[in-house]
Amino acid sequence: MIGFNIMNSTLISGILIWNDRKHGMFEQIMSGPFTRSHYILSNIFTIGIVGLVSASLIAVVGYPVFFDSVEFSLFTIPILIFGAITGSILFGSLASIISTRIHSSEGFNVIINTVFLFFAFVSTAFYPADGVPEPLRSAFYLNPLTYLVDVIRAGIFGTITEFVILEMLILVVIASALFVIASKLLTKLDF
Amino acid sequence: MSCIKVNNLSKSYGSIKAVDDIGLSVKSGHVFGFLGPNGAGKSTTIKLLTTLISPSSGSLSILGIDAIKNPLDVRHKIGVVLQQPSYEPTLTVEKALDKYGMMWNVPKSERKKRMNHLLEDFDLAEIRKKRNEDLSIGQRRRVQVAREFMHDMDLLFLDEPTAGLDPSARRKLLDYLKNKVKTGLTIFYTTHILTEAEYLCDEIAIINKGKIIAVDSPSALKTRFGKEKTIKIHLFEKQSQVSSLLSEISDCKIDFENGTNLTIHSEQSELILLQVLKILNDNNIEIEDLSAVPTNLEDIFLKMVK
Repeated sequence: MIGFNIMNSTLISGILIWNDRKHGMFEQIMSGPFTRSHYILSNIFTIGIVGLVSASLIAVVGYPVFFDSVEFSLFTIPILIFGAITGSILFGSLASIISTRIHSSEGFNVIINTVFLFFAFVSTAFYPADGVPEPLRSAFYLNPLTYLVDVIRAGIFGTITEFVILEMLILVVIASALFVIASKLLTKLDF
Repeated sequence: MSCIKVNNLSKSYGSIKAVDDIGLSVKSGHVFGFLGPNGAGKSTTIKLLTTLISPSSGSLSILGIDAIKNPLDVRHKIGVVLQQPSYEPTLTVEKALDKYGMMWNVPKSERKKRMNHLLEDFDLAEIRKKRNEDLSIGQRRRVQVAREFMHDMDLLFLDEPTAGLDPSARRKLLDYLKNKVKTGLTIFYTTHILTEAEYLCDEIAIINKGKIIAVDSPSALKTRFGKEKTIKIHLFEKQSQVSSLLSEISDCKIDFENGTNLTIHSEQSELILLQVLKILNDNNIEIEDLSAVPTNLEDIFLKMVK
């Protein structure tokens, strides 16, 4: 739920860009002392805060349920923070990319909901990968939300394995690539 | 010292040349007016000068900085009010000003001081608690312009800042800008309203179809291009034969409307007027009113962009 919530919060990133473009603020901000990367990062920072606050609320509410299994340590908490930051950058950049490519707000909402619902249900967010049919199981690992959810689970339950570390690396690579693409696409937006 | 220096600047979109090999030099502490009809290339030029878009070719120096190589350095020192409205709908007027100052790293105490001054100077004090989305177009425009003065700058670009303002707010803004120029600010100003350019600008460039067709002070432009004068004569009663009577006069253009209104355009208007008066007198045609129309920037502008 925490990973899913981080992803869902990043929807706001695309909406922020949409609103700024609609009300002329994107052009105004870009005529100030800021770069496109500053702009995306500030959006992601905003949604990162929203994501972290709501994820913390979920953790507090759900704490009595998974109380016995929780294994917080000095090592696991940074992993949770890592998951929140890379997840925000990854999905925030993805939402930014979609918002720069779609020319109507209706189209943007339809596409972002379809993409994010696909991510949510073809992942380990709601059910584990073990026991699902093979094609779906493979599809799980084409989905960055699966890696994010696995990393956050590992952070909460202290189950850090080599595979989780590999998943963390994959998250960093995908988040960096999407961030670069989002910055480039914002640069190409017509003023 | 030149604040803006532009050489052979061009911007193309496919086969369309929006800005075609222009050159400009704007002196510090001056108001430089940039005039042109719709689609002439004014906004594209402003976007190039404010580094919002990159040129296809040419060089561009803003405040001594190479704006093509170091756009961010330029943007630290300039202010920009774009033609299109820009606002955050849910922010109140005072929050919009404060947030904009925050964006520019203006300290909190300074922000408060500037905000209070601007709310007074732009007649926004009464609507300070109103949200942007609830403001009229003119009020929103005033907030947009006022907001730009929340931060320090050496050069201000204003792209039709008076659009949507009533005459009193327009004059107030122009006077505010005049006072700012006295403190050393340089302004690059585009407008369609030529009386504004005449009132405010030290120098004017006229752009048409992407090319600059004239650059000079308003008075020099009038002297250079305003040789042709206009004289209007209103006859006492309808005279259908006047047109044929005056047809023999050369070196002028005479329009005859409604049988009573004569408009004479000529570079030798005094001589032509004497001839017209003689013909009218010889034919016992009475004049009710006669006036000479002084050349204004609008006439020159319309003539040049034709």
